[in-house]
Amino acid sequence: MNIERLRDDFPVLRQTVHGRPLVYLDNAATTHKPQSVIDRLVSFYSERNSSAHRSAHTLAQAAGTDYENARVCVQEFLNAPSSSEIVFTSGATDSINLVASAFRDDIIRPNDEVVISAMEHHSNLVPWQLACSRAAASIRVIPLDETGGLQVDTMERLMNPHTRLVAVTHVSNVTGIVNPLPEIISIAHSHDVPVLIDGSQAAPHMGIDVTALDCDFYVFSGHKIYSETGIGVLYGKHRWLEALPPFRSGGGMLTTVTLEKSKLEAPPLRFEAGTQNVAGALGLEAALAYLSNVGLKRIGKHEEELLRRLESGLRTMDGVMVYGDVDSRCGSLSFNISGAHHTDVGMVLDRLGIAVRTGAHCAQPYVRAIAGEGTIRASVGLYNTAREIDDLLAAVEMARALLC
Amino acid sequence: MPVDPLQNLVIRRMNALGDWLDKYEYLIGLGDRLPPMDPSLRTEDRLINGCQTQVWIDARLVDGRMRFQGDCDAKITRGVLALILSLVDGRTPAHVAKMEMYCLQETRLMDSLSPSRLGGVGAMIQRLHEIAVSLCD
Ligand SMILES: Cc1ncc(COP(=O)(O)O)c(C=O)c1O
Repeated sequence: MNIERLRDDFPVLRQTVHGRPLVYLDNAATTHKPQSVIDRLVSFYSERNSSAHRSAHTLAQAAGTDYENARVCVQEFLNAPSSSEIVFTSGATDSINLVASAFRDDIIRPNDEVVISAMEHHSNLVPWQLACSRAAASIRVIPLDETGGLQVDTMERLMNPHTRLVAVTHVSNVTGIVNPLPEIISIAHSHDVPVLIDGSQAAPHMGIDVTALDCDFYVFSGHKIYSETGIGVLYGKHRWLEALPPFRSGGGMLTTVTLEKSKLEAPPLRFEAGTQNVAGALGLEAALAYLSNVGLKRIGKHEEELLRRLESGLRTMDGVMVYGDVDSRCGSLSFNISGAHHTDVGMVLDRLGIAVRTGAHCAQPYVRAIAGEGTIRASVGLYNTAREIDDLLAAVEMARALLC
Repeated sequence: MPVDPLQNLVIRRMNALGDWLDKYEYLIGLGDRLPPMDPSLRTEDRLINGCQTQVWIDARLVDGRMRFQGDCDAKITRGVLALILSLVDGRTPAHVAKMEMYCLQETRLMDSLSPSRLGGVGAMIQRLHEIAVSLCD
C-alpha cells in the first residue's frame, strides 16, 4: 500500500498547523474526505440536484436511480441480503434513535429489559436509557473485565424472558477493543432476543458481513468512513424493519394518504420521511468505492501495525499508561501520562501539529471505569504513516518533559 | 479601551516568548505559584461550567477590594487562571465589573485555548464579571 500516494487523495492533509505538517490522529471523531467523495458531491449539485422518489422529470428520475444505486452499494458493503434492508439516516446516532423509538413504542413494555455494555458510546446508551424510562423498563449492563474488555460470559445471566434487545458496540471508540460479536449474538439469539451492533468504529477498518454475523441491526456513520456528515446507515433484518413503526413521519413514507388515515410505505422508505439526503448517499457510495479500491483488508492491516508501533513505543516510556490489555486493537488507542492532565497533553500536542482527542470521548462510564476523568486518544486512518506515529511518540516525550 | 499597565506587562512577557511550548512553560510557572485553594472551597457553586477541566474560583471582599482564590487540576489552564486572577486581585468590584481582558486576545491565549477551551477562558472571565457585579451593589 503506497500511503504517500493515497495521502495525495486527501486535500485536507496538505496543510500545516502552527507551522508544522498536520498529523491527524483523530479519525475516530471524523475522517477526512478523499477528492473522489468531494467531486461526487460537486457533480451531484452541479449536474443533477433533484429530489429522489418525487417528481417524474428526467433529473429527478436520475437522482432517484442514483440514490437507489447507492443503497445497493451499501448493501454490498455490508453483505446484506437485500437493499430494502438498508435505511439511510443522518448518522449512527440517528440510526440508533430510530430503532430505540420504534422499540419503545411497540416492543418494550413495563418491566422489560434492554441489555447494553459498559463500554458504550453515549449514542448507544442514552437512547436506551430514555426509551426504557419512557416505557418503565430497565437497562442491564454487560460488565467489564480487568483487561478493559467485556465479560461476555456474564451475559447468559443477564438474559431473561423480559429481555427485548441487546445493543453493543462492535469496537470501542476509546480503547479500540473489538468485541466478540459471534458469541454475543449467539447468546442473545438463543433467548430469541434481537441484537443491534454499533459499527461506527468498525466499518471504517474492517470488512463487515451482517449475513455472517447474523445481527438484527447494524449502524454506522458516513463521516467516520471518509464521506460526509449528515449521512448514516441502518441495516435491519427485513422481518424487523417490516414490523417496526416509523420513526418520523411526513412526505415520501406513505403510499396513500387521506385526511384521516395513511397507508405506510414498505421499508426502507417508511423510515425515510422527508426529502432524502441524496448527495450524502452518493458521497457515501463514492467513499465505499474508494475503500474497496484500496482494499479494506490492507487498510485494516496497515492501521493495526500503526497502533502496534504506537503501543510498543508508549509502553517503553516511564509513567505512561495504555488502556486495555489486548493483543490487537482496531482504530483507537487511549493513554495517559502519569502526573499530567490529559487536556494539558492535548494542548501541547496540538501546538506540535498533532491532532488527538482528549477527555471522555462520549463514553463517560467506560472512561471513568478504566481511566478516571479522561484519556488522550490517538485514532488512525488509512492515510496515517509510521512517521506520524513516531512524531506523536516524540511529542509525548516533549509533553512529559514540560508537564511532569 | 482603558490601558491597564498589568495587562500590558503580560502582553510584553508572553509575546517575548517565541515558541508556544515556552509560553506554556511560563504559564505553568505562574500556575505553580498560585497559592493552593482551601479544599473546602472546592464546591459546586465555585466550579466554572464550560471548562474542559475543573476550575474553581472563590472571591471575597476585604476592605472594599476583591480577593481571589482559584484552583484547577490541569497545569496550563491553572496557569491561565493564575494569570487572570493576578489581573483582578486587589481591585474594587466596580473596576473588575467593567474590566476588559484585552491581553487574552493580544497574547493569542484566547485562540490558543480554543475551540473547546475558548469557552473555558470565556467562562472564567464571565464568572469574574458576575461576581464583581454582584458585589457592586
Ligand atoms: C462507537 C460510536 N458510536 C456512535 C457514535 C456516534 O456517531 P455520530 O455522532 O456520527 O452519530 C460514535 C461517534 O463518536 C462512536 O464512536
